[in-house]
Amino acid sequence: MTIPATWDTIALDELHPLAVKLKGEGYRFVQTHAVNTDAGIDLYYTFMKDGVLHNYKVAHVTPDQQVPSVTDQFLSAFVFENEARELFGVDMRDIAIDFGGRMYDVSEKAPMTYVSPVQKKEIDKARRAALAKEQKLRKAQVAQAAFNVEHPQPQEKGAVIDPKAMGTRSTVGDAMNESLMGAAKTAARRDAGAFSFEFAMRDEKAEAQAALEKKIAGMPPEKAARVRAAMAAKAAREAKAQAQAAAQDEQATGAQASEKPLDPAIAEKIKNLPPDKAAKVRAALEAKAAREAAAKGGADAAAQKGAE
Amino acid sequence: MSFATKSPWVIHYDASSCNGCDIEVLAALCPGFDLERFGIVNTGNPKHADIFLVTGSVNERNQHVVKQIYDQMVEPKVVVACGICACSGGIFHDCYNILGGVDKVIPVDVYVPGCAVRPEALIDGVVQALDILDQRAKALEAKRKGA
Amino acid sequence: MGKQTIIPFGPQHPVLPEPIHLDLVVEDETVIEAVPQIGFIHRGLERLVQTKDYNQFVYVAERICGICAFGHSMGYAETVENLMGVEVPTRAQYLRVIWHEMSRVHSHTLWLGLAADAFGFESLFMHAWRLREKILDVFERTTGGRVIFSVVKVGGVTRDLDDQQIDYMKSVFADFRAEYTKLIRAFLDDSSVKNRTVGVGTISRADAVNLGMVGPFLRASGEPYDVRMLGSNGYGELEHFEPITDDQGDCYARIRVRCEEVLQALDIIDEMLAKLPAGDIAVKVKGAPKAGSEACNLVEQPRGECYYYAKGNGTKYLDRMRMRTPTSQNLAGMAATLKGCDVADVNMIVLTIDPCISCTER
Repeated sequence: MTIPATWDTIALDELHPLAVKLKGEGYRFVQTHAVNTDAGIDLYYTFMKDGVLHNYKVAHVTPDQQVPSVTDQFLSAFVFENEARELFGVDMRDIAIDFGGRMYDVSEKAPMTYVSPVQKKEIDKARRAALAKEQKLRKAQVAQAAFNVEHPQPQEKGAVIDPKAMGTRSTVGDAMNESLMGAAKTAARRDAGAFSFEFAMRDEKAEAQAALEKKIAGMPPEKAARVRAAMAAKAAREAKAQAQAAAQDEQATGAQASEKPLDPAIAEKIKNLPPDKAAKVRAALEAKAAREAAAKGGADAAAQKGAE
Repeated sequence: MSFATKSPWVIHYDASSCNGCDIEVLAALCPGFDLERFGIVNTGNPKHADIFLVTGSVNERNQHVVKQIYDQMVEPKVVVACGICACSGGIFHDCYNILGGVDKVIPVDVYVPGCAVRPEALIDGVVQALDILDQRAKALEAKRKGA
Repeated sequence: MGKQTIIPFGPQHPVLPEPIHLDLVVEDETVIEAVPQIGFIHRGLERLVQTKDYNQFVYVAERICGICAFGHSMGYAETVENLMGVEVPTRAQYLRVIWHEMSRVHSHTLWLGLAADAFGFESLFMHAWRLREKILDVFERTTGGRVIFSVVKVGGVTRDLDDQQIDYMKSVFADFRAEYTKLIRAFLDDSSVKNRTVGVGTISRADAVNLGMVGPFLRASGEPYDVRMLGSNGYGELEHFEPITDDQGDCYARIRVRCEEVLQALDIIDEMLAKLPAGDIAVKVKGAPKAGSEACNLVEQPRGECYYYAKGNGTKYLDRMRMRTPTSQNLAGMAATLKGCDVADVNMIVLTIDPCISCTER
């Protein structure tokens, strides 16, 4: 369990009033530090009360901005404010014990604001890589969605063999045997162990699951918990992806259905077609109808206008 | 053995050390390793000391202090750089406020590396420093007699 | 009105293990004001995050201070693990707590010796450091190093404890506890020690909280604040934790608080060793912190509360690593305590704060 912490951003002119307020409420001053960023120096002030750390950030302070000191409320801040001034070049005013920029007496001016060229290159490279990765992921998702529209899951497309519904028998083989020998004899022979060539539609997925369960049982508990968590996460991901694909599928094919009521003439034409082709044909016919209606409407309006 | 090496007194100064080597220097003087059996006593006054044990590297501010302590010591004297930071700057050699090892400001006679320096290595270094101190004392004696 | 003189104290001084310079403005024998000057140890190692990646920086973090070395490496590793969302195995957390508490024992014993040496009680200094060698032997046996251990990494620890080592540790701690208890009684019950420390450098509880002090310095003035009682990371596994306080707020109180913290630390180690769980000691950490991610952490080091902050930028080099060490918070308290004391007491007061200037300056 880590120490609970809050992170807030405040403006520069809110800093001193905030310090006064927190002092009044009994907060304890923890520390002040500065972080060098491209857009200026970020100053962090940390306070604590009842076991919770409160971090306040004053963002992007530039060297021309004057920062008021909080040492009139919290004297122990003087070390950190002197340090921020000397190492980061922040213009701190009214520090209670002021070393005048010579606390550490370093030879380099504001040394912590220096970022070496090697570092800069690394950071830029990482930023570009992150951006490229994000773009690639987005493109992949779009491509997957498009693919799902082109190739939806097979539904009512003739005699589709559903392995689970079949059990371990082949319907075709059964039908053949029964037509040759009769139902009762087939059953008797099967029970006796014949038809060894009969292929069992193995539930591969279930078998893989069983093997994995066996492996997990042999692992130490911590590792087992990790593996299970990873599997659950993967299953959730797959379900989500499928749901997403299904949703996009529906969007592509069913959007038009939910929008407008189906014209009976068009419905007649498309009722025997497979669903995706049906959608396309319907779209085309509806578009044609819309065009004709528009043309007619335009002609009517013109006629009406002409009549006025 | 000349008079200077019978009971050499040390002065210890922490330049910009992390204190690891300092506590090992003090541990060497304590009953665990007992440098005091050589007659070595830790003094605070540079004018009483023969051996200067420096720990830590030299930075902008303490270079003057190190130089001043060395100058205040009386001949014959030896300097032992304890720990890798005093020898060459150690892990901090590329920090912006570090100039380098102690040999940037004063001449060092014995380098004892280690992070933190082990008391056994320190004893070894001090005993070697005693040899150098002996030579220097004899040379000083000869010069005084000759001149 | 007496004449005012300025006496420079440090940076080279026999009683100070570290260089700090104090300009003592003295009137007759009383110190009116003490102006501290630091900068003798500033190395500038926070900028090293730009050249050492987050795995290598553990070694730099350790070497901020040799006395609190383990605390810094543990705090750094915990912060980066927080940043990257890495979950450390329980056994590693227990091991870290055990080594950290051993670090506290060694630091307080070291401090006891130095405090005794500060007013001339040199034989106690020698005894304390002789006792401390026992702890260093345990460190060497379990981690390989006496001062700098390099046994913490981001993701866990690098070495494990086996049963032989644990038995050895238990026997050493039993011996240490027996001798140590006798030693502190010799120190705390001595009338000349009491003469020099009772009533010296007193800070009231309200002032202590106002000045933002931390650590045993604060607890000796009666304020019961200790990061360990928040129960973060490995410390959440403790049955019960109560910070040790004293209400007098003078040098004697601070000595007493530290002496008792050693015994408390030994109790914690015994508890942790008894219920050490089996398991991995590290997880593999892959990748880099995300750009713009931030994390902060607190650790109770021997000298007080230490705050860590880390910021990632998408590369394996951290954008910023900040360690705010306890002595930097206590400097204001030190300047306040020194006002109005005798010149002869300056040593004692500076040492009872347990300054670790290399931590402050990094």
